[in-house]
Amino acid sequence: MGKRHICCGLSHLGQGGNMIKQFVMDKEGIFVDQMMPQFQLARAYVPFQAYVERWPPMVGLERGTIFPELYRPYVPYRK
Amino acid sequence: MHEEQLRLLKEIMAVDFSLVELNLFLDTHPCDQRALMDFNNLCCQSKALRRQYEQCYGPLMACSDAPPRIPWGWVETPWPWQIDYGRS
Repeated sequence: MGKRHICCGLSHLGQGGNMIKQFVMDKEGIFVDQMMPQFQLARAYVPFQAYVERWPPMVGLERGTIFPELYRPYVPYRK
Repeated sequence: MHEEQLRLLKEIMAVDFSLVELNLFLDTHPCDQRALMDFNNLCCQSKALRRQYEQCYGPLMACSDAPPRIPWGWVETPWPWQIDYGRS
């Protein structure tokens, strides 16, 4: 969730004119994105990982992680 | 490098990689008992495997518990780029 929102926020930077309206200062002097006021700027939000399952060492070494939920291999790209 | 030596070396690499992963996880989850138990078990495994490897094939690191010998055991062991890891 966090990553997607950060990407959305960044996409507004290129639009120049809309940038000022996008961010307003709240009561505490912190700039808030009006589209998603629950998030502060320049903060990364990462969900907390839970220890669920672990691959055996040799499988982990081959795949680059021992956590199945973090396994995201690059798929060969073909046009 | 003999087949058995390579197998043991790869096993050490695999266990040590799992230890790095669990180390990172435990940095942010220091109270996770299951992760900590797995870390401790793998730690023992790594030590036992290293001991076994070094007794048979010489030191894994310059500063190791391998029995001292002349010429120095460290220079007698292959450099990483001399090992064909692709062979299994």
